[in-house]
Amino acid sequence: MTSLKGLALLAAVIGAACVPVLLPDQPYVVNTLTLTLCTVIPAIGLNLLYGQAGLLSLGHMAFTGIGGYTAALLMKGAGWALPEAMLAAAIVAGFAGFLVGIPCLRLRSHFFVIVTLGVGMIVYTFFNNLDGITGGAQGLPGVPRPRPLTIGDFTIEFRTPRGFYWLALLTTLGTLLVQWLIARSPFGFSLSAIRQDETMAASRGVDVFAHKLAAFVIASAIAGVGGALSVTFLRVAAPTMFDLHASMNIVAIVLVGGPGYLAGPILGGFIFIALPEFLRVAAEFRLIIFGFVLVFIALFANRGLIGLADSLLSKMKRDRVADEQPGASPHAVKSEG
Amino acid sequence: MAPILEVSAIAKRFGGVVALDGAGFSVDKPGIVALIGPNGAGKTTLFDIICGRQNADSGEVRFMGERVDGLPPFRLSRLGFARSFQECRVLPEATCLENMLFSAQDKTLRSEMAGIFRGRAHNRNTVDKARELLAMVGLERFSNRPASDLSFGQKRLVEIASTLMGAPKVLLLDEPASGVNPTLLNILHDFLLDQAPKMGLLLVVIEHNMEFIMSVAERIVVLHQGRVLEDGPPAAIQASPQVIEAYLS
Amino acid sequence: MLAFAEQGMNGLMMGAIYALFALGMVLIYGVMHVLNFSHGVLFMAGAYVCQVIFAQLTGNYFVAILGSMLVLALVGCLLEKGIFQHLRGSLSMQIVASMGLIMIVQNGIIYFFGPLALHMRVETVESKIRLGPLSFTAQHFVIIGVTLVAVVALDLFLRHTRLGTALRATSQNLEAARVVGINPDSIFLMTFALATALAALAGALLGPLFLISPAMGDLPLLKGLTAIVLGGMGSVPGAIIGGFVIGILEAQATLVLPTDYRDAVVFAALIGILLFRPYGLFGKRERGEP
Repeated sequence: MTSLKGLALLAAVIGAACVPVLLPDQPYVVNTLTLTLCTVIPAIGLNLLYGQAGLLSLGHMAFTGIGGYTAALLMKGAGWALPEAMLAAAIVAGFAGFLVGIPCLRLRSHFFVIVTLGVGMIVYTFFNNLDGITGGAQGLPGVPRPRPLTIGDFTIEFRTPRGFYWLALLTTLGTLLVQWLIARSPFGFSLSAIRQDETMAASRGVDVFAHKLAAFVIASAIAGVGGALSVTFLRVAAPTMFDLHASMNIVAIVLVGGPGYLAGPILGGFIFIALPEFLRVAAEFRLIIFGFVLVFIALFANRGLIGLADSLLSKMKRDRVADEQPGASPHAVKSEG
Repeated sequence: MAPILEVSAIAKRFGGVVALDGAGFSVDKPGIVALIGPNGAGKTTLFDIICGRQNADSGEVRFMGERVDGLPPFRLSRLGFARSFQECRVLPEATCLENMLFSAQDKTLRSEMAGIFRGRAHNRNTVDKARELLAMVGLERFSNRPASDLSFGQKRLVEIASTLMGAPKVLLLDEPASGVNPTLLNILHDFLLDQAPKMGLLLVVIEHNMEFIMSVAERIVVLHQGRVLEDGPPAAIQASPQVIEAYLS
Repeated sequence: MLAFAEQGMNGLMMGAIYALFALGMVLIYGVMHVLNFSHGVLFMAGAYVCQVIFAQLTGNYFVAILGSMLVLALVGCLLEKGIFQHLRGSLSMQIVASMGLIMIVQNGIIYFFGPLALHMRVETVESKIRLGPLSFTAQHFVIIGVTLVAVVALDLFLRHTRLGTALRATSQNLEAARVVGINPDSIFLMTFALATALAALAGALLGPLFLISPAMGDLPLLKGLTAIVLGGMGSVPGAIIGGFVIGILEAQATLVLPTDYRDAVVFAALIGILLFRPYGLFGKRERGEP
């Protein structure tokens, strides 16, 4: 990562952290942003899966739900604190990803996509009907907010929009860090090789199945973290939060933002969740407009909006510099894409 | 000592069609071996079986005395097999240098997970080696360009050069000359003749371009109707009446 | 035993709907290699168009069905020309475009007709036919009968007409078809129109029996996808058999499991089958695939 990009990132993080301070009497805005972040986290998991490894899962919210219900049960029933519950949510969701991945990841692309849809459907059915555990259609209301955190004289209260927003921001940054680490690592390189040419990757020694399974488990665990955050924010775990529509939404978020780009899910989440709230568009119109946006993306911007901007920028750059200098940076590491 | 590569009595049928009927050959020392034969002789099937892309109905493939037939391609790669593809496979989004470095990377999940915090930093020697190989095929100036920018022939050179980054013991080339223009083919020719002995490499090539084959191969195995028809140095093959008849019929 | 027979009949009826649905999807997939996830909303739109024609233009149900098929065939042409023709070869973009269409059509319908379900009062739903101790609506038999007629007609079309032969040729080998003078673009267009007309037919048939609602296509989409996967992704007879198998399986499943688990059973069966036959029940591994 260049230092310029690093600075921009730092500025963005500080800017995002300042929002509740700058808008002290606008809890609605802050809560909307928190809600956006709650959806962005599972989208980051999906971005890892699709943007990095090329695996499109249409049932990803199933794992968010598994994490969400795990956290809800532990916090509400067993009185666990959020950090432990979140960790448990990640582990349980990751393990679920492992169990689902073993049969599904052996299938070729079309079959895999359809089967993930089926997995989303099956898991949703269990959420909706296992009344004894998940509370059935009503879900599990009354999930507590995290306990206040005291560091020295300073206390952060998570019942307030501001406190929870910071928590959500921190969690999002944590998952982004995971994605960044993977994207720049040899593991990420192998995943991206699988996405670009599976046969070639295998012929060079990549155990394609094991790598896909690892990616699937990590993506599911990240989704689980998002689920834990969502249920303690909304104070309820309900089946409709994790149904196929929700899964479709995060697929749209990832693809519109820009699959493979770190900022992709954030941009996508902002466009899909925060923007319509702020513009106060009627729900049907909002979705119709999104429908047209998606068709546009499919036809003209396969790498999402960031990808579109990226290719326009590099085209401009190429027009300026006719040919690149030979051997510029030997360690050119693509952390994005 | 066991032969480097020993292919014995391979049989394979597709439905009622016999593709291979007891084909086999054995190579004791590094060098360049070509596998040729008229269309439908079974070369591609035999090649696919050696590469782990298909399973034989019977027969075995041994590498340094160990059975390797039936192993998936990634296991073969980890043992020291490398291959190029007829349709030429490189990572289109990665730069040429990254394509080279990808081959050198230890791709076991265990070591990748252990190095998850280290990023993709490669040691100096590996990068130098990659640049050296790219320079040898005349593509150094494309080091930082994505492989998708290259012509087919240039991609082929990157593909073959990059396989050497993994320090393979056996390199299988599937029609390396097809679709490559004469200039680049000369580069490839010189590159292979230079690198194979230097790296102690066993090169197995299937190819239609006879001129190319005759000038690189030290030994030629001719397949016909699923069996080995002739096996010997190029001069002997060119003079063999059986081979001439097989190609003419 | 009686319940078994009753569910058998219901399963056959739903199976017929799924078969029609899957038939459209498999035609598009087989010929164009496009997975059209928006088939479910086209099915739903077909039911709405049928309802409008039936209730407001003519009281004749069968005229309304034909009208709806025609309208949806036109829609199919537009979608093929404007969108899917350009997305051949990119599975994820086909899904993105389909999701976009789902949002547009579903919410467009909600905007025009409201979110509540509509009743379509067709005579064949009111009248009952008795079979021994059991009684079914006449619509059950209409659905099964029309489906059989449609399947036979399609089979005749595919095997005995020039156009049908051209379609099959295109699906088997695009380049070869082009060489012998078939224009693949017009074949693609026709395939899409045919497939969306079949979706409309299925929607128009099921609409009167259940309710017509914006979400009515969601589950048939999942079942249709399952059917073509079971059928081996590209096999027309496979898709039809797959559709019937799913219809009957889920109907019988309600005898032993709570109704809510019906859909889960279908997918669990799908995953179970793919574990042992990764290319579907009737599918073959394509050359060059690992």
